[in-house]
Amino acid sequence: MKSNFTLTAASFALTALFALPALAADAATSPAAEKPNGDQILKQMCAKLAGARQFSFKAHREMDPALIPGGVVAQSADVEVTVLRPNKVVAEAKSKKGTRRLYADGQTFSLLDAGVNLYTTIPMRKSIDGLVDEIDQIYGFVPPLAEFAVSDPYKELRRQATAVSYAGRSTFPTGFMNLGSVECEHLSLIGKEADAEIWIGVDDHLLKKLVATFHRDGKPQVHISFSSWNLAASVTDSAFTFTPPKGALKIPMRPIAKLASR
Amino acid sequence: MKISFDHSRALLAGAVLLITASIAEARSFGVSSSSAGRGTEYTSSRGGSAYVGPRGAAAQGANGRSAAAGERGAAYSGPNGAAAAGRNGDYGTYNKNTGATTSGNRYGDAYHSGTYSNGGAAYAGADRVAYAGPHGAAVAGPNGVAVAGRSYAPCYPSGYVRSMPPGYTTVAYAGYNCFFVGGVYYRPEFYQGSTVYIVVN
Repeated sequence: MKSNFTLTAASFALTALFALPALAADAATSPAAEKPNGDQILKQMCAKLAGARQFSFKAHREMDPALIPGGVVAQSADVEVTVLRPNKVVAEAKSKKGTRRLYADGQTFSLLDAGVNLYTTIPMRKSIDGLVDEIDQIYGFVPPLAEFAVSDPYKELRRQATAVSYAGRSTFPTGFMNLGSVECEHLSLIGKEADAEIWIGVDDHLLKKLVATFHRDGKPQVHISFSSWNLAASVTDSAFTFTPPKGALKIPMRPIAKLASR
Repeated sequence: MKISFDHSRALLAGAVLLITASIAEARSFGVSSSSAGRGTEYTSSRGGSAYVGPRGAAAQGANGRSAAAGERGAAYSGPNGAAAAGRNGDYGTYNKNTGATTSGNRYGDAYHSGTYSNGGAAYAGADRVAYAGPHGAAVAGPNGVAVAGRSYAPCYPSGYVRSMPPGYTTVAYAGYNCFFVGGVYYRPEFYQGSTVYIVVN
C-alpha cells in the first residue's frame, strides 16, 4: 500500500506540475483578461489622426443651450474641418443661425459670419496648437472640434479626461439614413469638467461619435457624430487663405478679459 | 475695520482660487471654460476690478478692499452683518429699509452703501430678494447673507444684443462700422466667437 500511495502522490504531483501552467494559460485567455484596454484604443485612434499631415472630416454637432454663450435653445450645426499641419485649418459651421467660417493660414486668423457678412482678421503666427490655446484664452471660445486638429490629440483628450475605460463593443448606425452600420469600440472618459462617451471604429480606428456630459446644473451635453474622414485630403495652401466676400464689414473681436472700454 | 479687511481679503483669495481652478480646467470637448467656467474680469476707471465666474463673484476696489460671494449663497459679511466692504471701509453696507445690500459702480468697484447701483455690481430688490447686477459681483439678501448670481449658461454683458432689429442701415459712427435703426447705433463685434451688437450710447 505504501508504494501505491507513493506512486499515486508522485503522479498527482506530476499532473499538477503540467496542469498548472495550462490552467494559468487558460485563465489568461478568460473573458475578463481579454477585455481591451480603453486607453490603448484611444491612443491608437489619436495616433492615426496625429500621423495625418492633411485631413478633413465632417461632423454633426448638437449642443445644449447652457453651453452656448447667450444661448436659450439647443444648437444644431453641421461642421466641416480641413487641416494642413502644422498651422493651417479651415472650419465651417452651418446652423440655423447662419454660416460661420474660420480660417487660419499660419499668419492670420479670420472669422466670417457669412449670414450678416461680418468678419475679423487678427495676426496669428502660430501652429494649430498655439492658435487653439490663444483663441481660447484670449477670446473665450474654441474653434469647432479643435481637439482633433491639434498635433497630439491624445494629449489633448487626456488633459480633459483623467480616466479612460473600455465599455464594450457596439454597432453604430451610419451612412445614408443610418441604413449602414459600423462596429465600434465604446470608451468612457471621466473628466473634471465633463465626462464623455466615445465610439471608435473597430476597422478604421477613427472616431464615430462623442457624447460629452458636463458637470454643471442640468448636465448639459454635446453630441457629435463624425463622418467622411479623409486622412489624405487633397488640399492646397489657398484653401486656408481668407478673402473677405464682397461688401463684408470688418469688425473687432473682443477679448474676454476686459470689458471696461465700452 | 481691520477685521473686515482681513476677512474680505481671505474671501477674495477664496473666490480667486475658484476662478483659477476654472482656468486650469480649460476647454473641454469643444466648449471653452471661458464661456462658462472661467469668470470674467471687469475693471473700472478708478482701478477697481471685479471677477464674475459661474461659481461666484469677487470684487476688489482700487484700495485693495474686496468682497466675494460663492455659488451657494455663502459669502462674506461686513462688520455690521451686511454684505460688502465700502470703499473707505467705514461706509455702512446694510440697509434697514430693503434688507441687506451692497453696491458698486458699474464695473464692480465697491464704493458706497445703498440699495441699488445703477448698472452696478449688485442690489437687493424691493421684494427683498437679491439679484446680481448686469456686471456681476456680490449681493445680499434681507438676512445679511450674500449670494452671487450663478450663470452656468454663459451670458453676455449688459448692453449686448444678439441680433439686429430689421431695417438697419450700415453707417460709420465713432470710428466704427455700425448699424443704425430706430435712432440707435449698434456696433457689431465678435464676442466669444459669436456676433453680438453693442448698443452705442
